[in-house]
Amino acid sequence: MSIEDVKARIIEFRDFLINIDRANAIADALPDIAINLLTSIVLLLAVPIIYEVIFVTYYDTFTMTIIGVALSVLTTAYFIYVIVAKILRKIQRAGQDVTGRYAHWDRLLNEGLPGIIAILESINYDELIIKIHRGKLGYVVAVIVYIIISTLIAGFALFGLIFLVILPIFVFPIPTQLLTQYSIPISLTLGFALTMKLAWNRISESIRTLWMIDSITWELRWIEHDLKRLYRI
Amino acid sequence: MTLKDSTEFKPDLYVIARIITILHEQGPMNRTNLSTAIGLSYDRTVVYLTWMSDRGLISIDSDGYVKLTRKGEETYLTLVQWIINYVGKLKFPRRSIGDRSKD
Repeated sequence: MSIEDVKARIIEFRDFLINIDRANAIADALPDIAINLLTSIVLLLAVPIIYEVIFVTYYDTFTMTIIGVALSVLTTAYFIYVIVAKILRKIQRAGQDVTGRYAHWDRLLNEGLPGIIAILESINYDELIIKIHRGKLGYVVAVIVYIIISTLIAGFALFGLIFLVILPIFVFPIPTQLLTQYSIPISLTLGFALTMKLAWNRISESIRTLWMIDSITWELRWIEHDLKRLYRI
Repeated sequence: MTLKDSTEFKPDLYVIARIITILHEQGPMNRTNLSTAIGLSYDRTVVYLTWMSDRGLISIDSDGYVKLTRKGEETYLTLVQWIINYVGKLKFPRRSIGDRSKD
């Protein structure tokens, strides 16, 4: 291993710190994300109930079809707005400015050995370890939000595909009970299964990352301890 | 600068590493050139050189040329070894939740 390899490792360290800062920013955005997600879920559950109430109080096949379509379109539009404009943008924007915090590392790395020492010396290890622990929370939140959003998106897509495209080809009109009571739970369950099938590698890698983060905190403690020892040279 | 002052002085490891690295790579040089090379004022450089000289890391000859002593060279190697040992073995997860680069 040479100093050049060490420089590459320091760049990995910087990427890791940027990810930790982003995870912290996601943890900061957690209340907003939770409110938006809960609102979407409540709306998803409320729509069939509203449809049912209207169905009971005012029954007319044609009117009910129009109301059903209108509710579906409005719910979908709101859902897309919340997911794309609120949650995903918030996650994407979280910690966008963090890269700038480590911009000076490039200049220091060009200096070689002294620059690497300057980087290691400039780190507040106590603060960093707190940030890593907090970042783990953000990371867990990001994984959960990722699963929920993917499930909702896949669920909606499957809902459209199964209950609005495939099923009407074979069964028309679709029994109201099937459309109102079972369609969303079935779609979401299938959406969840599809998400887990497609994203299992990423999710399991995220879990491994969480384990690695724990071991890194120990390594950083050793570096901090030994850096102090260097002063006694 | 008295010896007492130089013992109370708390040096920046980065500056010491810069001095040692420059002397290791470029060989002996006078104090003015050294202060320019490390980007520190002449007075501040002298403070560091006094501190390092007190610890036997450098020697300054009668012409004002600064050179690394054997202990200074060993310190350079210790620093390099330390960096390689500790930083080299760190393994960082490189992927964030939003990163699709390996998909």
